[in-house]
Amino acid sequence: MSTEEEHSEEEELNQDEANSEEKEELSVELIEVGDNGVPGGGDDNIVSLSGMYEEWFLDYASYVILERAVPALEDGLKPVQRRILHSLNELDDGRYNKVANVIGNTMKYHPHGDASIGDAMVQIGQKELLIDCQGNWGNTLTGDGAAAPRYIEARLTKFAKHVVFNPKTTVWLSSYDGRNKEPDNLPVKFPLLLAQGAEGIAVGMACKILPHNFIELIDASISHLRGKKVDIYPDFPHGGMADFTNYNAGLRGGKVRVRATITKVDKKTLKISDIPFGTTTDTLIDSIVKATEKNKIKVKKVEDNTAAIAEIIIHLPTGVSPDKMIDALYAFTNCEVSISPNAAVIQGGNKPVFISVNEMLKHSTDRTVDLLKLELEIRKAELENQWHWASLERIFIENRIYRDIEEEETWEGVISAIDKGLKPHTKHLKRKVNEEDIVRLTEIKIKRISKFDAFKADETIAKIEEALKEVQGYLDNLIPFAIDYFKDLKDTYGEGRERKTEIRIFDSISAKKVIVTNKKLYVNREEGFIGWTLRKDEFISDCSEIDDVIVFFATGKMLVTRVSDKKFVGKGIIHVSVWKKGDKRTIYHLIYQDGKGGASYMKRFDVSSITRDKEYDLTNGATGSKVHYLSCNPNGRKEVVAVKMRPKPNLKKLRFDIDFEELIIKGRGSKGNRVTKDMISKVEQKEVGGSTLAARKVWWDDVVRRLNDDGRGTLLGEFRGEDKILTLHQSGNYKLSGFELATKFDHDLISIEKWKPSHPVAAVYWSSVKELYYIKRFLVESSSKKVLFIPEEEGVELVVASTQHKPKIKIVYNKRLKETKHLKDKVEEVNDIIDIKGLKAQGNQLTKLAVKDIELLATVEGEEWPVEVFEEPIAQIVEEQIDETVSEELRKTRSRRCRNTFRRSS
Amino acid sequence: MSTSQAVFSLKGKPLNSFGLTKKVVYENEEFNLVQAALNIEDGLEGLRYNHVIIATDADVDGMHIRLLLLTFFLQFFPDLVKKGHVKILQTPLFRVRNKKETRYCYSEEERLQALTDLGKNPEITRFKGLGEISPDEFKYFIGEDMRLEPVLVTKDHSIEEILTFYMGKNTPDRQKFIINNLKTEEDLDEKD
Repeated sequence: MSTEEEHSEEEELNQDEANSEEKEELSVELIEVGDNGVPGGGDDNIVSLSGMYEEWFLDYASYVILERAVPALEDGLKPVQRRILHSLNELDDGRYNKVANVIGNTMKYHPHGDASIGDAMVQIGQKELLIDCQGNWGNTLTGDGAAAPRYIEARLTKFAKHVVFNPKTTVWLSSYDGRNKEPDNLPVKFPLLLAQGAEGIAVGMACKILPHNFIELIDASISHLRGKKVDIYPDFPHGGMADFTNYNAGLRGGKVRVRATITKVDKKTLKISDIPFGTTTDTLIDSIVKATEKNKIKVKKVEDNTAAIAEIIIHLPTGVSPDKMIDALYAFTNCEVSISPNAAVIQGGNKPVFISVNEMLKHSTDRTVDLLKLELEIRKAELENQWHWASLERIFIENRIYRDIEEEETWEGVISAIDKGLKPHTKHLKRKVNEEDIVRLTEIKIKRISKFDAFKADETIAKIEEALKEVQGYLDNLIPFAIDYFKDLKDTYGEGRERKTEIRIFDSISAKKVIVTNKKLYVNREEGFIGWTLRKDEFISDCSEIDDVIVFFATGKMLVTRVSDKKFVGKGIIHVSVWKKGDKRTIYHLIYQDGKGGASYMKRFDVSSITRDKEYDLTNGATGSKVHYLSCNPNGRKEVVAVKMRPKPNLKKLRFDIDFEELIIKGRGSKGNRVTKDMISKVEQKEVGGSTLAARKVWWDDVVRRLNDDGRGTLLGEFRGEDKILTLHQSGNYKLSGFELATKFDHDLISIEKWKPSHPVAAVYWSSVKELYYIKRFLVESSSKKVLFIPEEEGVELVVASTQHKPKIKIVYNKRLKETKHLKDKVEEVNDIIDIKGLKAQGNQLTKLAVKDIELLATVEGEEWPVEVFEEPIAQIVEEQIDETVSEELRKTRSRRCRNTFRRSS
Repeated sequence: MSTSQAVFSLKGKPLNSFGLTKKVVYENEEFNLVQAALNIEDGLEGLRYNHVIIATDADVDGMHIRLLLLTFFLQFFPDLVKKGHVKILQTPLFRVRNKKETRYCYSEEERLQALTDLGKNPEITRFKGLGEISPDEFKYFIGEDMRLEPVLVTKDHSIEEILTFYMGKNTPDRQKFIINNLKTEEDLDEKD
C-alpha cells in the first residue's frame, strides 16, 4: 500500500510494535562470576543513567530523523529511495533489471535489510512516475502485494532519466564502506516530493506529505517563476473527492477529508467506484462490515469487483434509502477518511524544517533554476574548450607550425618552438595557451594534418560559436528558459496525468440523521426511567443508540438527554419523544398553572436548540406550578382543546375551547398568554388538523451539490406533499425526485428546479451517425426512475436542454465550409419551430447545414412563465465544437461548463 | 574467570514497556522468558546471574534496543539495576591488524594508537553489528578482557523523569531537545 511507506523502515521509540531490521544477533548475556569480581576493563568514564539515555536516544533519534524516515528538501528523497534510484541509474542499460539485483546493488550504498529496500522500491514503483515496472508489482486498489523481487523487473522511466539524474551536477560522497561513490542529493529538476508524497514516522517527529497533481505542480512552478503566488492542493492516485478547506498548506494541524465516489445504481444497489486515499478495497469493505456489525448501517451484501479499477457493489436491504445510505457510509465507514498532513523535511542534510507545501514548491523550483543554470554553465565551459581547441588546431595546421619542430632536438625545445610559432596567431583566443594544449597539439596525427580542410574547420568553429551563443542566450534569459523547460516537461510527460481527485466542499453529515434505528425507546413514567431495555414498560418509538430524547415533567420542567439502555431522568414524566436538533417543525402546545392556585397560561413553542442534560423550566418559575396540558405536534399541526373549569360561584363559563392556531409560536422561555385566573379542572383535545406551517422552502447549494432549508444557494421553491424536483442531465435523462434534503443528484446535472407538470422541456441533440441536429419539445411524465429523452442510439449527444417559457437558440454555422461560409447566425424561437410532442418522439431536424455552435440564449425579460412567483433558472449551454467523435474529454468540459453556467444564472 | 555464562537471544526489538503495567511481563512472551531466565519474578533473592549484560550491535538500532531493554528493567525490576547487576557489553568498533598482530579498538583513540603501533597499511575493519564478528574473535570480547559499562543509577535525575522524557509521549520539549541536539553523520564519525 502506497501510504504505508517504509513500513519496515521506521519506528518510533514509544511505538508498540517496534520491528527491527536485522537484529537476530543481539543478546543479553547472563554471566555468572565470582562473588567479588566485576569483570572486565576499567570504569574510568562512568556515565550516569541519564547520560546513557541521552546518548543512545540522540544516536537513534538523529539517525531515524536524518537518515531514515524524513525526506530531503533538496531532492525530495529519503536515503533508501535515493540509493535505489542511483542503483537503477547505475545499472541502466535500457533493459529491465531484476529487482533482486537492484536491491543487491543498492546494498552497496545502503547497509540495511533487503526486505526493507525491496518494500521501498515497490512503493516508488507503485507511484508510476520514476520506475517502469514489469511483472506483478501489486495492486494499490486492493492492497495486494508485489511478487517476490526475483520475479519482478524494473528500469527507470524516461521521465526519471530526464529530470532526476545528471552526473555532472551531482555532488558525490563516499559510500559507507568507502568502496563506492554515491550522490549527496540527486539533481532533481522537478517537485518530486510533492508529486509522490511521503510518509514516515521518526522519533519526536513524523512526516506526512500528500501527493499532488503532476500538471498542477508544473503550472505552479511556472507561476512561481513568473512571480505569482502559488497555492497547491493534493491529488490522489485513486481519485475520489476531497475537501481541502483545512489543508493548511500541508502543515501540521491541517486536515483533509477524502471521500469515495458512491453512486446509486438502482434503489437497492450502490456502487463505490473511487476509494479514498490511504484505503484499499479490502480495508474499506472491512470498515463497512464493522459498521454493519455495530448496527450503524444496514447492508445486505458487499461485492468486490475490483481489478484494474475499483468497484465495490453494496446491496441494500429493502426499505433502506440509498441516499441516506450514502451519507451513512460517509459517516460510519472509511468511505470518508480524514487525513492529517504533517510537512517535515530535512534541509541541508542536517536540519529538520517544517515548511508548507507551497514553500517546498518554491524551493524545488528555485533549485531547478540553479541546476539548469549549472548545466548551462558546464555546457558553456565545454563549448569554450572545444572552441579553444578547434581554433588552436586550425592555427597549428594552417600556419604549418608543426614544421617548426623539425629542427628541435629536446622536448623542451619542441614545446617552446610551438609556443613561439603560435604566439602571433593567438590574440583572438579567449584564454592563454598552456603547456597542456601544446602537448595535445604534438599528438595530432599526420593523417589529420594532411587531410585538413580549412573550410570545414571554419564551419566547425562557427557551429561551436553558434552553440555558445545559444547557451549564452539561455543564461541571459534564465527564467524564460526555465519556464520553457517546465512547459516541455508538461507537454512530454503530462499526458494522462490530469487531476483525478475532485475538489469539493463537503457538507457535514449528522451521524444522527443517517444511523439506523435499531433500538426501541421505552418509558416508565411513574418511576422516571427511560431506555431501550425497559421492555415491560410503555413503548414510545424506534430510536438509534445515539439519539437524544426530550422529556417533559408534570412540574413543567423539560430535559434533553442522550438515550441509553436504562436511565433515570426524574419522576412524573408526561411526555417523551426522540428529539432532533434544529427541528423547528415540531411544535409543543402547553397550558400550565403558574404557582399553586395561580392563573393558567398557554403557549406554543418549539425546542430547536438546547444544552443536553440541563433542566429547563417551561412555566414562569413559581413553586407549585403544574402542567394542565401538553401536546407535541409534528409539522405544527392545528389543535383545538376543550378547557373545563372547576365550578365556582359566579363563574359563568365552565367550558370553552382554545384554538392553538391563533397563538403565535414563541420560544420555550416565554411566559405565554393567560387562559384564566380561575382553576382549570381538565383540558382535553378536541380536534387536530393540517399543518399550520408554511410550505417548506428548499434551496439548492451548488457548492456541496445538496438541497437545504437554510437559505444557501438558489431557492427552488416551496414544496409540500407530492411536489417534485426536476433535474435535467447531460446524459439526456431527466429525473423527478422528492424534496427530502438528503436526496443525492448525479454529477452530470445541468439544471434543477421545482417540477411543474405543464411546463415543457425543449432539447436539441446531435446524432453523430446521421450527422444531424434534432430539436424536440415534450412534457415531463411522472416517473420514479431516470427517463431518457433523447433516442437511445449510438452517437447521440444532448446539446442543449431548457425549461424556459420561450427559449431561443442561436445557430452558428460553420464558417470554414463553402456552403455555409456567408450564412449569418440565426436566432430561432424554439416554440415557433417545434410543437410539444410525445416524450419518445424523435423531433425535427434543426437544419441540414453544417453547424459550429448551438447556443441557448437567455430568456428576454418579461418572457418568463406567467403566474410564477419564482424565477426559473436559465441554462445556457455553449458548444465549442461538434465533432463526429466527441471525445470523452470534451464531454467532460461540456458538462462542467453547463454546471458553471447554471451557477452563474442562479 | 567466568565460571558460567548463558546467552539469551532476543527476537527483534523488544516492546517499549514504558507506562505499561506489570501485566505485560506476563503477556509478552519475550519479557516473560527474560523474567523466567533470570528468576526474578518474586524478587532478587532468586537471581540466577550476578551480571545481566546487554549486548547489542554498535549501530543506531542497537542503541534503540539498549533503551528499550533498560527501560524494561527499570520499569519492572528497578532493584536489579540499582544494585548494579545490569551492564552494557562494549564491543570493539575497529579491528586493526597487520600480518603479525591484531588489535581490537574500542574508541577512536585506541584506533589511532593501534595505527602508530602497527605501522604502515594495517587492515582496518569497522564493526557495527555483532554478526560481523567471527565466533573465534567473539570469545575474546566476552572472556577475561570483557569490557563492561555498568548502568549506574545516580541521584541527579529520578528514574521516572528520565523514562518519561525519553520513552514517553512525544512533547514539544522533547522535539526541541532532539532538533537542537541532532547528531549528524560527521558528528558520529568524529566521535567514533
